[in-house]
Amino acid sequence: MQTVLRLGVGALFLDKDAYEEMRDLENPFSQGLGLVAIISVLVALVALVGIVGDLVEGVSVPKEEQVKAIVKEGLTRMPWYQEIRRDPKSMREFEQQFEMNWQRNAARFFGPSSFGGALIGGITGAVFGGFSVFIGWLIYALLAHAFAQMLGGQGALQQIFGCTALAVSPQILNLAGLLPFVQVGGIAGTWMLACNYMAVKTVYRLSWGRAFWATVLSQIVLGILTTLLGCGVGVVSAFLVALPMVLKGGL
Amino acid sequence: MVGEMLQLARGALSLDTQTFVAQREARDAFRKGVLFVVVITLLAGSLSFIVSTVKGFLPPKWDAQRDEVEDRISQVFKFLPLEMDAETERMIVGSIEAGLDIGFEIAQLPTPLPRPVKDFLQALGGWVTAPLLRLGAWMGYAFWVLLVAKLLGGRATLSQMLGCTALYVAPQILTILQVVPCLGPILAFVAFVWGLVIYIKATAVANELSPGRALLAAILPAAVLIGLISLIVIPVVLLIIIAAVS
Repeated sequence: MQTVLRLGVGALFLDKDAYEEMRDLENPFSQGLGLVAIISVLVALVALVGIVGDLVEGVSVPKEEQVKAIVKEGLTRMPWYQEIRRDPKSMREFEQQFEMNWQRNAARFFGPSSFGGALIGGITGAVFGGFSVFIGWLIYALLAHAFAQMLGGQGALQQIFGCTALAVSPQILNLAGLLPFVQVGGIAGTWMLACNYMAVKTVYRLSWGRAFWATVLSQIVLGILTTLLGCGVGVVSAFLVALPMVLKGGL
Repeated sequence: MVGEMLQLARGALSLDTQTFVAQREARDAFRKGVLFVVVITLLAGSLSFIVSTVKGFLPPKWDAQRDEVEDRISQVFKFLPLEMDAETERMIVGSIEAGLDIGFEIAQLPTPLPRPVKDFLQALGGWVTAPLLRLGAWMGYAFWVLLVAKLLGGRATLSQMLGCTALYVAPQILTILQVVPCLGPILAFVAFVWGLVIYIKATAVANELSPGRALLAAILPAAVLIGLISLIVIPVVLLIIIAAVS
C-alpha cells in the first residue's frame, strides 16, 4: 500500500516515473483499485464531515424569514411596483413569482435548515461522491483504452486501469472543502485531466497529439454519459414523486 | 525552500532567461510551479485577509459604506453612453435605491454566529479559495496554450509548460496592497501586464519558440474564447432586447 501511496503523490505532481512504475507493476489493476478505494472513501468522508462547515455557514446568515420580509418589502418600494399595484392580475403574478423564486433559491443562501437536513445532505453527498469517483475511474479507463487503441496505442487494459487510478489523486484537494466558505471549484477536475493525459501517454506510448485526443475525447464522452445518467435519474425521481399524487388524484 | 522561491520570483520578475531554462529542465518543475502559485497567491491575499478580520472586530460604519457605494454608482452613471428620459432615470435610480436599502438592511440583521467570528471565517475561506481558483485557471489555460504552441512547433512537455508558466504569478505579489484605495487597481493592472509578459517569455522558453510564436500561442486561446463568447452572448442579448421591446 505504501508503494501505491508514494506513486499517487508522484503522479499528482505529474512525475513521469510514477506512471511508468505503475504501468510496469505486475498487477496494476489491483494496485490502482486500492488507491481509488482509499480516495473514494476519503471523498465520501469529506462530504460527510463537510456538514459541519455547512452548518457553520448556515449560522453565519440571518434568519430566512427576516431576510424574506426585507426583500419583499424592498421590492414593493421600487418604482415599477407602484405601476403594477394598480392591476390585481399583475399583483397575483408578482406574488406567485416571488414565492416560486424564493423557494427555488433560498436553500442556496441559507443552507440546511436543521442538523437532520444537513446530515441527509451529507450522507447523500458521501454515497454519491464516493461512488462517482469509483465508477468514473472505471468508465474513464475503458473509454481511454478504446480511444487510445483506435489511435494506434499499444498498452494493456490492466495498465490503463492502474495509471488512471493514479490520476484520481487530485481528488484529495476536496479536503480543502472541509473549511467553511472555501470553494474548491474545478481545480480537481482540471488537475485530473492533466494526470489522465500523463497516464494515457505513458501507457500507450502515444505522441502528444494522439494522447491529447484520447484523453480529451474520453473526458467528453464521460461528460455526456454523466449528463445522460443525471437526466435519467432526474426523470425517474420525478416520475416516482409524481406517481403517488397522480394515483391519489385518480382515485 | 524560501531562498529558492525568492530566487525564482526575482528571476521571473527580471525575465532572466536562465531562471526559465532552469525551471524547464528541473525534474520537479510542476511541483515547484504549484508551490510557487500557492505561496505567492497566499502572500498576495494576506493583507486583505488581516484587514477583513480586523474589520470584523470594529463597529460597522453603515452610513459611510452606503455613501461610498452610492458614490461609485453615480460615477458609473456619469460614464454611461446612454441618454435616458426623466421617467426611465427615475425608475432606475428608484430601483437602485430600494436595492441598496435591501442590501444594507440585511447586512445589519443579527446572525447566530457573532460577526467577528463570521467575518474571520469568511476572510479565511476567501484566502484559502484564492490559490485553488488560481491553480485551476492557470492549469486550464496552460493546456490550450500548450496545444497551440505544439501546433506552432513547440517542444515542451506538460510538466515543463506548467512549471515555466507558473512564474507568471510573481508580479501578483504587488496586489498585496490591493486594499489601498486608488493604488490597488493600478497595482493590479501593472501585475496583470507584467504577468502577461512573463507568461509569453515562459511559453517561449518552455517550447523553444520565437517570441512572436510564443505571443500567438499565449493569446490565441483567450482570443478564441472571447470570440466564442461574443458570438453566443451578443446575439442572445440582442434577442432579449428585441423581445423586450416588441
